[in-house]
Amino acid sequence: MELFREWIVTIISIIIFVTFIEILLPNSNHRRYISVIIGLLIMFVILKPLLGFVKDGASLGEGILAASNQMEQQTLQNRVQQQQFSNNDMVLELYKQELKKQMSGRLEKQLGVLVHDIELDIEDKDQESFGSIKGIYIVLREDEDTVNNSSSGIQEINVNVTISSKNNNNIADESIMIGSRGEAIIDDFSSFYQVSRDNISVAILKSKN
Amino acid sequence: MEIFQIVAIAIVATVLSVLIKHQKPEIGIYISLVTGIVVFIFVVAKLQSVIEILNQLANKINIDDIYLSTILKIVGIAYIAEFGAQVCKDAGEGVIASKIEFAGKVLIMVMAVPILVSLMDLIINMVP
Repeated sequence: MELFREWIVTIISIIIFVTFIEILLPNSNHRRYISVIIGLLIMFVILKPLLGFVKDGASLGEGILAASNQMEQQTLQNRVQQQQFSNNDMVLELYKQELKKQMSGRLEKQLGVLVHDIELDIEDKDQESFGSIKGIYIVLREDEDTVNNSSSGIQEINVNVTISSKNNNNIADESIMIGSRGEAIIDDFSSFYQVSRDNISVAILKSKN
Repeated sequence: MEIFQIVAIAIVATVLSVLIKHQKPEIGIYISLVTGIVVFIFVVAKLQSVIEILNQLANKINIDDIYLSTILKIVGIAYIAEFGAQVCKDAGEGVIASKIEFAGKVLIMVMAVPILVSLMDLIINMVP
């Protein structure tokens, strides 16, 4: 009988409490959602003594706490995962930039060619070989002095100019590369960076003149 | 009576805002923002005492503290989201206001999910 009395008192108090809360609610779209949650809580309070018969006095609050803890944990895990992804991306980008800087320095100082751009293909999925270079695509710029010299030297050969005019301003194929120097670059990069010769390509960007 | 002070502040702010709106519309937004905060500060102390009394009431009867705190948190989220959305709407930024309302809804739903899960658990346990 005491249990029944307590149950009735709890239900009446929660209804008074909810009426009070309804006054406090702002007049917005959120009202509907809050009403739903309040409804759920009232259901909870009404069902609580029945749970006491089924389970020996198990607390519903614990269930709510456990569920909310699980959600918090999931949110935290998602955040950590996102952070790791963005960290990996940043590290990879920085690594690529440093490698490019090193490669263009090597090309310009040791081999004496002008670098237009270097594209790198880096392993980013496999954890064991993470960061290893899969391919290098080097685009060189034609040396202006050489161009001037050659243009003054071969002014009469008009045929060559008309044929090659198609390729002007395009990134030319490896075959156009100045033979021995291109091979030297590929040899040097292949031995220094441990990349297969097939995965290194060198092209030259022709200037307008 | 605080209501006189609040209404007086609100009327003065409205008059100022209307006067200034033609010359400098951006100042009108600042005025409405500051007025909102001032009114909120006036009321928050009273609200605090109401909430404390509700807490005492909940302690007397046999209600788990988690119900009350969840409901009060939800009401708080609704109020703050409403305040932010109204300020954005006043400034003519309806899109941002709707985003604030959306965030408020999501956060309210996040609070509701544990209750829903444990209610489901309870009902499933009760079914023989």
